[in-house]
Amino acid sequence: MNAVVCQNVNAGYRDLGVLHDVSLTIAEGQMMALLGPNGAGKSTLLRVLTGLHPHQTGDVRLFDRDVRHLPANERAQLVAVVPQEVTTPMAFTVEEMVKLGRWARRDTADIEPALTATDTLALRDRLYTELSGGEKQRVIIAMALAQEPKLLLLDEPTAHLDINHRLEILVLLEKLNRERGLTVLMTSHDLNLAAEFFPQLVLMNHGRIVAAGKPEEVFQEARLAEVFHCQLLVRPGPTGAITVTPKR
Amino acid sequence: MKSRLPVWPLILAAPVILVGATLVGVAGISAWGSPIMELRLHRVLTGFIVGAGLAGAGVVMQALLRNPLAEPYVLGVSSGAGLGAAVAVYFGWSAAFAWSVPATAFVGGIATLTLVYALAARTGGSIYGLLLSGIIISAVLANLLMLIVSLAPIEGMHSIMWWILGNLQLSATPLVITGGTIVVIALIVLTLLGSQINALTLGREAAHHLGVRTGLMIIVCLGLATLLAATAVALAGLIGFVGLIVPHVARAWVGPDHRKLPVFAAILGGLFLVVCDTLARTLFVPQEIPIGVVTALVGGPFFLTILLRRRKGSWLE
Repeated sequence: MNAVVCQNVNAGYRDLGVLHDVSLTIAEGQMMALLGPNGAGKSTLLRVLTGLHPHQTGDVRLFDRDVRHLPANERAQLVAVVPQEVTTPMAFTVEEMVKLGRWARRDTADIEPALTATDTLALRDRLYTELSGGEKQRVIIAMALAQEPKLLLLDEPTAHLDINHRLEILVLLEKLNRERGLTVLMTSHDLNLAAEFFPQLVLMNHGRIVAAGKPEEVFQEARLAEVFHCQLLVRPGPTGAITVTPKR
Repeated sequence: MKSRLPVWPLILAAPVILVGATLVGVAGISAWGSPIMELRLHRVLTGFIVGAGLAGAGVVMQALLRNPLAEPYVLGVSSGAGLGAAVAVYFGWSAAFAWSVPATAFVGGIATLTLVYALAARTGGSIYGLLLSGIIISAVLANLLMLIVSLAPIEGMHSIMWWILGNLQLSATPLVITGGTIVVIALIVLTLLGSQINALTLGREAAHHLGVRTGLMIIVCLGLATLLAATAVALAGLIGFVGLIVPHVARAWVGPDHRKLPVFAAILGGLFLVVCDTLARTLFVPQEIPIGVVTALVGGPFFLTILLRRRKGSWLE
């Protein structure tokens, strides 16, 4: 089954069209990165996929269910979202935060597997507000895993993190994808990490999908120059993955 | 690490405080069963219900608006209710019909909230739209209230001002019973919705992703909080401070889990107001001082001390 099927989706804010005729299919178990410059429509596409922002025309289906007619709790059982940052003014403990993920299932089942998978078991009694950025993001992923979703959407989850913690999050996502078959769609500005970790890339510009496929298919110098308005050198890197370097 | 206190000291203190407040009066300690005791019990119960309503409403407003300065009156309930009461006094309804002041205050409060919601919905339905609409409507109504006060004859003005300052003497027994029932039901419903309020403190988008029907939940919870506030205002006029500070103390005490916080804060707020009212009655015998003065002067330093000592568990980190 396909996790996501978007067909000819148009969406926007009031008179401003943001997504134009977007069609995208993500098979179950895939790991895909959504790339593009600021304002390309990546975040809006994620908002449309989760029913947070209504699309004007076209069709959006999650696991063959129309997202517009999906009740809130059933949607939360299928798809969980990790944003750039989650803040709360409340002094919740890590355990209390992760338990919020169980609201989707309306039960109080053990959250230990979610804590173990994200290596946050030792943080259990700590206050969420006192954690470092990397720890917070692992807790939010644990909260998402507590929903037991089939699809995980991440909106630049590593934007505020240093390289070590970025790597930590991506290794975790790769492991969840490999071991649990979790479908992962992540937006990112880091072209190199995307090429290293994601077998499938989608490149957006001005609200349209301009390329989709493997990193070596998507990352072509002429195309990247047109999308990002700067010269970028595409070369095979030391790990075998493609690297993108700006040319001064 | 989390640092939370046990609940049992409050549970043990509650009956002691309630009985103590009923016994202590202007003439020292009265014997149980005397007629004056009945009046005082009535007043203690009214105080408990009003304090509970204000603290419960404050908890919900602060959580949903994600703002430590939110309080029960933030969406215009106080000015709407005040205007309603003033209208009843100005047109002489209050002399003819004893229930008219609380009734018009209640209707004024709820009508104001409805207007604020309607305006906020037109601005896109965001929390900020709601806050801004509340502030604007509040300001307009507060000045309409001042217009009525300035036009009212001197005795009418006096009773309006007396009501605005807040007091626990007015309410008839059926009114107190009705108010108590509303407060209990609203607190039960809020407790049942506690998990969803918890999710909403992460912001509307995060709550949406967790499976909460955010639009519906915000309207239901703010509606219930307004019901609590309007009930408190109808019973006792405008009493400040309780709905702002008690929620912070309750949160520092038991943590921010809204499956137990509204009820805990309500008990704490109820007891706090009963203690303040006892002080208002007895400190300057035979003169009685406005209860709002006591809530601010006694509560301020006391609660500030707690917040400073236990700030890690509270909002003011």
